[in-house]
Amino acid sequence: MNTQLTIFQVLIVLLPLFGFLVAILPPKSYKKMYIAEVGIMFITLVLSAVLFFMKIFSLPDETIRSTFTLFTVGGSDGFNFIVDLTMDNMTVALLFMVSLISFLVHFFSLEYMSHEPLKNRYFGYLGLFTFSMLGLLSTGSIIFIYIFWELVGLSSYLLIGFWGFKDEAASACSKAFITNRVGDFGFFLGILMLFITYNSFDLFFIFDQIGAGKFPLGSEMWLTVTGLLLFAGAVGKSAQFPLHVWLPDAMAGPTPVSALIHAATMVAAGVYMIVRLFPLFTETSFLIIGFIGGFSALMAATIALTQIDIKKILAYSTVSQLGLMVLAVGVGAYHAAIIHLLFHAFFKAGLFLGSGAIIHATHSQDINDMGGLRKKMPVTFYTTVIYSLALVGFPLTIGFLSKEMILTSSITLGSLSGNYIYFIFAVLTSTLTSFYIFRYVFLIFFGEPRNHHAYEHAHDFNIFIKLPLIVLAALCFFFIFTFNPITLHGTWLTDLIFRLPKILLPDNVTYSFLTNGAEGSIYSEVYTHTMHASEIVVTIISLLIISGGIGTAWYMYMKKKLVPKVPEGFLGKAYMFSQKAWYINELYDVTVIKGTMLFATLMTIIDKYLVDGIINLGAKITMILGRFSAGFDKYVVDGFVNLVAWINGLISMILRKFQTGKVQTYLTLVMVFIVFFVMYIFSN
Amino acid sequence: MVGLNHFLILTSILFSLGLFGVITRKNAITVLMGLELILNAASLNFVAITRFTDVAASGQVISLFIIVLAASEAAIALAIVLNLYKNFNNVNVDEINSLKE
Amino acid sequence: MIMELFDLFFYLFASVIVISGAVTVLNKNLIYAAFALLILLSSVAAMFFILGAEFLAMVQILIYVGGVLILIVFGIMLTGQVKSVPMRENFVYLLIAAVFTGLLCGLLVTGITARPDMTLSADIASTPIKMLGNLLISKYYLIFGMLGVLLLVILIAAAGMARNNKE
Repeated sequence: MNTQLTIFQVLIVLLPLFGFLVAILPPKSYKKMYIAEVGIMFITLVLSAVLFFMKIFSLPDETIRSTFTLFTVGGSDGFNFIVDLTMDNMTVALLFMVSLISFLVHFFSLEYMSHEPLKNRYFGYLGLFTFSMLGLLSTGSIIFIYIFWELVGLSSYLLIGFWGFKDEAASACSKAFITNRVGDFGFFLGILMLFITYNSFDLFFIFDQIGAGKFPLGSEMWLTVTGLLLFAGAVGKSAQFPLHVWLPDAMAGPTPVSALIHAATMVAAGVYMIVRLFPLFTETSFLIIGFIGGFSALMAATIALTQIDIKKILAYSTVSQLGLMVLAVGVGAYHAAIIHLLFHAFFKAGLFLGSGAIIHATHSQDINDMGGLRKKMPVTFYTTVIYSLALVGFPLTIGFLSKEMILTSSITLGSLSGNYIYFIFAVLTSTLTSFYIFRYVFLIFFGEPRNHHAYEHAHDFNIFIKLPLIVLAALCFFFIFTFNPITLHGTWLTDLIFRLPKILLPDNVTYSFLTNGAEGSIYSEVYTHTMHASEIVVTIISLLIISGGIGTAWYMYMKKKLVPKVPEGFLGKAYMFSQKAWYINELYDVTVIKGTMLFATLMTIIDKYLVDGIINLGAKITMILGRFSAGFDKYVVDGFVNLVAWINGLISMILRKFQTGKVQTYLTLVMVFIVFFVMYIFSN
Repeated sequence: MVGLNHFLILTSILFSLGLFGVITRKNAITVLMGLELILNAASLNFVAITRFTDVAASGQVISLFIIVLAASEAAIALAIVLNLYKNFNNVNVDEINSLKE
Repeated sequence: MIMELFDLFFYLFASVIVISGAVTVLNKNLIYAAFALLILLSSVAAMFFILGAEFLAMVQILIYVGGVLILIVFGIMLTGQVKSVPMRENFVYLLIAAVFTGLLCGLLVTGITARPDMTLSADIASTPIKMLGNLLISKYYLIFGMLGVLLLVILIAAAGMARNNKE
């Protein structure tokens, strides 16, 4: 059974790579190749669904690992480099999610990218990305996580820069890559810290060691530092403050790519990573993680309020939702984070694909070119409304379930520790979310068309566009996942899929309410009790903020029919502050980029005058020595050689006289020497 | 009284004359004549030695062979000379120096 | 043959040989040279005769005078260079050739005179031809046979080489 599952897992990971190879090799028929690409993804999807159900229903409690040693460094007792394939319930659920969305995006791209000349390259990159993402989810070795981490970064770079002939896309892909480097540098340092401490990349081994009381450099503080270094990688990949600047720019890539990579899967890798490393974080780490997540969530939500590019709105919304997930990890709600990751992937991918359909129809990304599209694009309209309701956490949608878990966890933490800041962050973010996403819906689909030319041409597309939208919208309803519309606590989802990790850290290192509890619970009794008590409060608050946010949006954009423009006075300044994304890009421009340029100029000057001066001096000295040496060579060495040559020439001049080519001369010479020889014999 | 030494001295002179002719004359046919002189000197030597010593008739047999060889050599040499004349339009040995470089 | 007559003949023919040899080698006119060679070869034949080799003398006359010399005369006539065929012009070369040829001759004479002379006490008896024939087919039969092959080869080779290839 285990072997069978492992074989399935290997197939699931390697099939997209095969698709990549098929796409990059010159195909005989492009049409057949696209069908093959989508077919490969469909097989992957079916396999991962089978794997998911087999794992969940037959071996729910096991973590299936298969490892083999690739090579050994330093003799028989040296370090073994181990290839690691790990599968637990979280892994199979995320594998299913990634292959589902990847398949839908492939399917969607058949129509969306149908006019692109380099489609095969596009599908190849998608395959490479899917392979890397599935690989990232399938390993329990931190070095393999890092390798796949960089591979998803690479494929993200390639896909953002797919339209690299545009300056915007070219600079956006570089920006994404370089910004991620900053986070990955920290991530790599963290891996090195773990390695020098435990001499292993195996996460489970490392967790056991930590549980046994072995910390990096022997102190809890260094464990915190290691955890934060590792978290820096997640900050980069999941676009958290202060490294979030790349994600809005990454919208320069094709929209299906945004749906797959920059909304649903790759950016969630950071959240996945900190969830995977959950037992590694100390209380200080959790505090910082939660604060960064909450701040990013709130900041991105305020920015999303005023954006006029529809993809930018969704991008900041993504940053905001990722911030909520990170916040959930920070408050210790591991399962809330991963469930929100999973659900968010569905509706955010749907929102992006819907926006892709709109862009495909109107050939514009500016919200001012839209309006009144609901009559023209009914399927897009209804599905987008469903996704938006899921995003704000409307009851009966999956968003309600996951967001409620996050809110409950943060208020529980607040009532237990007196630290309500996370709850405030989460509530404010939810309020703003419900406002901006309905602003998005109202401005696009309701009201009068603001660009009649675009409006005339807008229409729903064929099955390739519709099917993914409908499938994702169907997934946004709660009954797909659970039969309890109110809460996920105690349902089969939390009980079976998200088997909680063992918390091995001592109580004084991690949160006190996280214990190594028995029977699948990591939370102490008082925590569970407080959580149940606050559930009803949270539901009420949640309903209030949703209706408040939607109501405000309705009032502003339906009743008063406002259009996005800069208001007067102080409000205008605030509006610009939001629309310019808190001027963070400008700040980086002034500090980091200008600073780097200044430093580079300084270095140029040093290089030019100091280093070059030394080198030129050395060159001068070498030249003088060279002249000296050349003179010696010319007159002494060459003179000797010429002398030898001259002597040889002289002898040759004499000897060649005898070589006349005349037989008689040779004969004479023979005779002369015979005479001498005979005379010599006679003289003896 | 004439003895073997007289003959040997005579053949020495004859040989030297032939050698001088071979190495100094321009014309290939004259060179050939010099060769005949040398061969005759050798031949005469053999006969004289046969006469004055006790070697039965072996020397005369060798002389006979020499005459045969001389005849065949003359035939070949003249064929060569004719070919030379055909190719170089003269038979001057010193002008035929294709052996040089 | 009496001894005094032998001596007389020797000196006579020896002087003829030396003079005609010198003429052969030094004369500019090739016809004269060929004629001198004729006299020389005949004199050598006479020498053979007084040495008791009558058969060889006859062979000498037949082959040399009748064959080789005729060939040489043919050669002279076919190459068309009869008169004024000088020595090589280089005087230094001629000097060296003359000096060293003289030296060689002197050395030979010195070597010869250094050893005791051999003379004949009795009259000279001619060698029987039968004995020569026996030697040819017994002791020297291999050389004899090989000479036959050689003559065949030379016959073909000379004919082949002398052919006019231009036709």
